[in-house]
Amino acid sequence: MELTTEQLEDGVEKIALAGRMDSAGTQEIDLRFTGLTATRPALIVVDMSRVSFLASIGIRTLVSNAKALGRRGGRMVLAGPQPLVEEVLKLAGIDSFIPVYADVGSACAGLKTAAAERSE
Amino acid sequence: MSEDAPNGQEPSELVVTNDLSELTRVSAWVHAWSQQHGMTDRTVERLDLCSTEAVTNIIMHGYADSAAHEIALRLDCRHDSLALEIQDDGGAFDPRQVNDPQPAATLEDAQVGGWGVQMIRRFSDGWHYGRSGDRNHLTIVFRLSHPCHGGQPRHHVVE
Repeated sequence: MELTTEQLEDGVEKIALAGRMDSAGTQEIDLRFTGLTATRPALIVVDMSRVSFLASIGIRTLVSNAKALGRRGGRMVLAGPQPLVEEVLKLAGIDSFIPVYADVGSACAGLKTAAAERSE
Repeated sequence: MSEDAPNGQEPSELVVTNDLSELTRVSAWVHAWSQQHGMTDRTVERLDLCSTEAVTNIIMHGYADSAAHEIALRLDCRHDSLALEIQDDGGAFDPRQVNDPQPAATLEDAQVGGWGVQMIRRFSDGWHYGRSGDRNHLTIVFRLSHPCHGGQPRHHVVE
């Protein structure tokens, strides 16, 4: 798998994942992903649009990183999953505790709204 | 009639070892076999997910030792039903007895793992489990929207 990062406006960071998120693929990005979520209270959009396959081992990585980030006062949302990946996310009920947006733009808007609500 | 095809076709059986890197080979085999047998994209997706989850479970949780073990997979297509058979010599494990994870409303309450068996349950149409000797036999069944063909070139007109 590939993992690339990009700093977006308003302090939101995009992590774009690409490839098959099975055990082999997840292993390739796990350390870097964890490094990005375990150290600071970031607002992170994970761009899933180029993830073609999501297995339970990939869900494990998404959930544990979202938890780590949440514990540090940050927040993680998912954006643009392909139909099969979205089906897997919904089936496992992940979308009830990690918000899933149609694209990066709406994910950023959602993140900022949530951050503003929290700081009020 | 055997589904095994001698004419350079993807074999209906695959043996992998208990190493997570083997999942790549499982997926490649599933895709190649499915293409030759006229499976729909949807069936390939379901088969890919279920085989990945089942083999991952065996590799991660099936063995008490660190020795090399073989996991045997077989695809068997009969009319409108496709069976994925998986045999391993790990500890006895009937995945049908595993409950789905409790749905969580908040991130704090969410469990990190345990989704694999749920995936198989939801993306397949049934499963059977048996234990004989020191081997687990798991069969995952998929109903097909149209009958599979044996990998032979399709004839447009059959009279």
